Amino acid sequence: MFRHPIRAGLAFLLALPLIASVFGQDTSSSVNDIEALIRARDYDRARGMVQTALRNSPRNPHLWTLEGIIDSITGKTADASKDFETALKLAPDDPAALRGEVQILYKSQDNRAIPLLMRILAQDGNDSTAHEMLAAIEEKQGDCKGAVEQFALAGAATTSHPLSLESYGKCLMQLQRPADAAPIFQQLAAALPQQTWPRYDLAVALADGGQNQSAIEVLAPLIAGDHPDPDAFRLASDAYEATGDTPKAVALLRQAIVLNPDEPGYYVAFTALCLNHESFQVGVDMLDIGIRHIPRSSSLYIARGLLYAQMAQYDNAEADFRTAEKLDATQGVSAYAMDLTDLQKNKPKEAIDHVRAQLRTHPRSALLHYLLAKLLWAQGNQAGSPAMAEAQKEASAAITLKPDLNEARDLLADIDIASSRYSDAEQQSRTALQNDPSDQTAVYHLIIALRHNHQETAASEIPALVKRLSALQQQSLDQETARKHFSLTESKTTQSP
Amino acid sequence: MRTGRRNFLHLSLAALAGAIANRSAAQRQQSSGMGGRVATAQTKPKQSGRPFDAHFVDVAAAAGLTAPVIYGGVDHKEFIIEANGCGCAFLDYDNDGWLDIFLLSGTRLEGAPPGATNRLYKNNRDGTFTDVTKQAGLESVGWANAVCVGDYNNDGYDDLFCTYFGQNKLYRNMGDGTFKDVTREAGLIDAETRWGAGCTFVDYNRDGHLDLFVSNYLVFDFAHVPRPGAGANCNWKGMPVNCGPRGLPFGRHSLYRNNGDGTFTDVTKAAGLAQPWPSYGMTVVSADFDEDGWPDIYIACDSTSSLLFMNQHDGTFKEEGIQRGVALSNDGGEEAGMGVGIGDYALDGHLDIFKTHFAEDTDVLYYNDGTGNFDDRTLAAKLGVEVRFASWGAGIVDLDNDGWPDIFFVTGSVYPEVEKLLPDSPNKSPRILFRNLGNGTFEEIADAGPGVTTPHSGRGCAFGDFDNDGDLDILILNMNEPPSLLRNDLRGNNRWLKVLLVGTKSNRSAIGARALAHHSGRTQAQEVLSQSSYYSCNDFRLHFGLGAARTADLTVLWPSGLKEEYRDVGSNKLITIQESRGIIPNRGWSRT
Repeated sequence: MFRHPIRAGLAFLLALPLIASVFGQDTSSSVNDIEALIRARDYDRARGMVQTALRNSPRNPHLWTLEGIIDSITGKTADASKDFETALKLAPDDPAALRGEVQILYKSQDNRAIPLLMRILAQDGNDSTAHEMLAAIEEKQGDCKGAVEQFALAGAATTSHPLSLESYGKCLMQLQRPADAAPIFQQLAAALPQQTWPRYDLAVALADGGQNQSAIEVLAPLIAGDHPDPDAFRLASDAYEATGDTPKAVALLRQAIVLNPDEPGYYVAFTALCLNHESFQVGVDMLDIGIRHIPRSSSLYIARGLLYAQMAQYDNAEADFRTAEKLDATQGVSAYAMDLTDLQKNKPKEAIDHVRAQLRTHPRSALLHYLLAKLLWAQGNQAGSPAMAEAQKEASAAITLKPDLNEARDLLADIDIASSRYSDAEQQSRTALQNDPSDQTAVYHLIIALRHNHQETAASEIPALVKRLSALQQQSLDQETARKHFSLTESKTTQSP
Repeated sequence: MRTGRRNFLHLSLAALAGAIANRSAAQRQQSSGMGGRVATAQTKPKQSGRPFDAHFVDVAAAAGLTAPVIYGGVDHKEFIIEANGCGCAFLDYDNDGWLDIFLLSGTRLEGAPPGATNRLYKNNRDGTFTDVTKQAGLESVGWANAVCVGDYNNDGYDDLFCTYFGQNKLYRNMGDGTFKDVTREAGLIDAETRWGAGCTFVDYNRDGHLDLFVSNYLVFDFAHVPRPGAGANCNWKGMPVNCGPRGLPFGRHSLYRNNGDGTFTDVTKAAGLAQPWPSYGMTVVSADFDEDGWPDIYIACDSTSSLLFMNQHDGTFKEEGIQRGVALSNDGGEEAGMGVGIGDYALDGHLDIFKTHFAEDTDVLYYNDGTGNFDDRTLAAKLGVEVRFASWGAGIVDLDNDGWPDIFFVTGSVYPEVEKLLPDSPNKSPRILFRNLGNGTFEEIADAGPGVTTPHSGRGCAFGDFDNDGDLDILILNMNEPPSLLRNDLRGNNRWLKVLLVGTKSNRSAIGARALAHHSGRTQAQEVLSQSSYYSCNDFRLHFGLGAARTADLTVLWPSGLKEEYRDVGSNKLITIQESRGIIPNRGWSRT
């Protein structure tokens, strides 16, 4: 609707009677004539009549609006825009001029359309087209929160437009509302039955929302088709793993790798599976194959280094992390992993030196800031010491760069507790729990902070928190048991993927 | 179009960062296999340079402690039951004033080799011991785990309770140098096979009769536990190892009330302890942590939250480990709790807790504020420098008599087979000694003698003065080796005081009695414990280092509620205090 010129012109035509109805008696007849000519698509004569009328009434906004409509329909967009702007200077709330100008700005996703749309909606809060247009522009501007609100207000208007549905669903996913996104993608899939990608998006939303079995069902035709999509295999693998069917997950991921052996993401996903199931050597074998296919992929070296580190093969791990750093110095993950390896080798001082050096190369790496904070904190310095203050500063920097990095937030709470700043610890822990309600560390810190901070008032909250922590521990245990139920076996990866 | 949609799936690098973070978080909050959370070592601070006067020499062989403690495979452990080992005790079973030694033993999967048995060694009072196991009636073969000591029938002789995978055993000390297995007549036969772990005598209802608490580790069945590498929780650093405890069903703990007639009644349910706590219970310590006069019970739990059962004064307990701060690490992670040291490291008159863990985790020091609420002071105390080894028996004990209790613990691997591929994870490792610097921090002593530095795969250990020379010696149980007896050859002129408490209205062993030694402007608390360290029992004579102080004032708090004060007690001697009667002549050995 928003992109099709004819449909756009029709939208204006629908607004024309409104223009005539607000004209005075003398001009009304000429406006009616102009409208009739536009309806008859006799744009040259219509333009002539408008220009004649404008010579007599140059401050008549409605005539400027009509000229803008004619220019717009005949493709003179720049002229049309000037006409609408002139009309709006003369009559800032002229509905037709507003719509005309919005139409032009919207085509180029110009955010100057936003205040105009707001004015339209101030006149008519139920204008679903305006809501939809506003939503689409906000989505393009990266304001998913605003876009989702507007899409919701647009109601049925959205459901008939696949591009709007796509934007709506995408924003809901960005806002981590996969359960709300799933029905939107469901509508998108129904609107575009010949396309496979809406089904894929739907499966992503279902899987992210924990409806893994439904995701598997949605993906089934994508996997079984004549042109199997390796991404669909990879996603289905995730879903099967989440349902506890690790053998199927492994098989699908292997198929994804066979279909596209040059995609590093599949090997990384395989690594994650191996980590979960503590099948480290199997992962190394697969990554050896991956590195033969794509020898310049830094992520594969990081993945293999991570697996080596789990097996205490720290020299191999470090060599891989260094290779990754050489291949792609812009990513900060290998630096972070290298430091973790130092730590696992019980070399905290070397690790601190490395992190400081790497922070000079990756100053915006939240992970490295956090790691430095953790290392400084772990040195056990007394409250108020310079090292403790630096730890706090680095953890704060990590949070600034990545507000949802709960590990850093938990560390700050730890530092606060050690420094007897129990109110601060309480606040950090509560924020961490808003980010992740299953953060066991945050629950524990909150218990400790409350015990110290408000011994009287906390009496009612602490028992509930203890219960919550116990439930989370049990949940972790259950997940761990399910996760470790299956071990990947080496024999299956000694050949090609 | 599809490229945009692929963004829903995490990008490779983001996924890797997530994998690293997840792995790290999992290690932080969950235990894996036998192990606990993974923590990094603190940088070792600069040494104080102050001399440490204690020096330990292993005199076990010269003392006649030459029989190896059999426990599972030597180079490979097929099942977790072979890995945990067992405890030991310093006790004076014949009341001669000289510490005797009791050592538990295990067996092997293929059957017990000749000589595999628990052993009782009588102190010859000349630095040597005689194996009196057979004549004492204590020969026993099986998967023994823990020992706790106490005079359950108040006849003046300390009795023994031993836990087993299988049937636990209560041995009554007959007072004539022999013991009698009275398990059945005491009503302590279990209908099912259980894995008895920690145990402690405790007079939980303060009726003067010692009751009995037993932790059960997990439900174990040779037929159903997977083999190394064959199932969940059966790998360590990618190598197949014995499975568990994660993935195996939790054990249930038991409380037995002493009926006062030689029998016990299982009161677990009535005491509110019957629910299946999600914990792998190991060493049990009973002490009055909140100082309300009633004994509480702390259980170090492997790979799960440790438990603190607070005595409710009405025959019931309430579990409050998490809210009181002794269940988890400072970041809320579950740790592999195994051994427990109890002592007053801060000299503020309150009992603190030191708990040992698996390799790659710090052991933890919990500071007691006097109300039974604890703060994790591990890092502040600089104890996080040592994370290399799995740690077991431990004590907060004053080894150099300077008045500040130090920390000592023994180490050893549960996976002897991995050292071939992972030299940084040796089967045998040194003992660890931290000296209390008196300012809330500790420093690791690198050379306190060959008894400390020589590597072994240790498990239980007990602290006591076997040669009655005024310092604390250490008995250590080594896996598939003879035990170590570390004689403390203490230099310097620091003074000391030993206090033996004898109950009258309270239980005769005075278990649960607390002594506060006031000197040099400080107060040190100690309590008579039936079990601590790892599955072990220390010398019942409370040992206070006094530094330069020539006298100390004593406060004694008896389980009966009686409080007694003793002023200007002289140093460098043992005193025996009998409840209500005051200081009485020492029995057997005495030092004037």
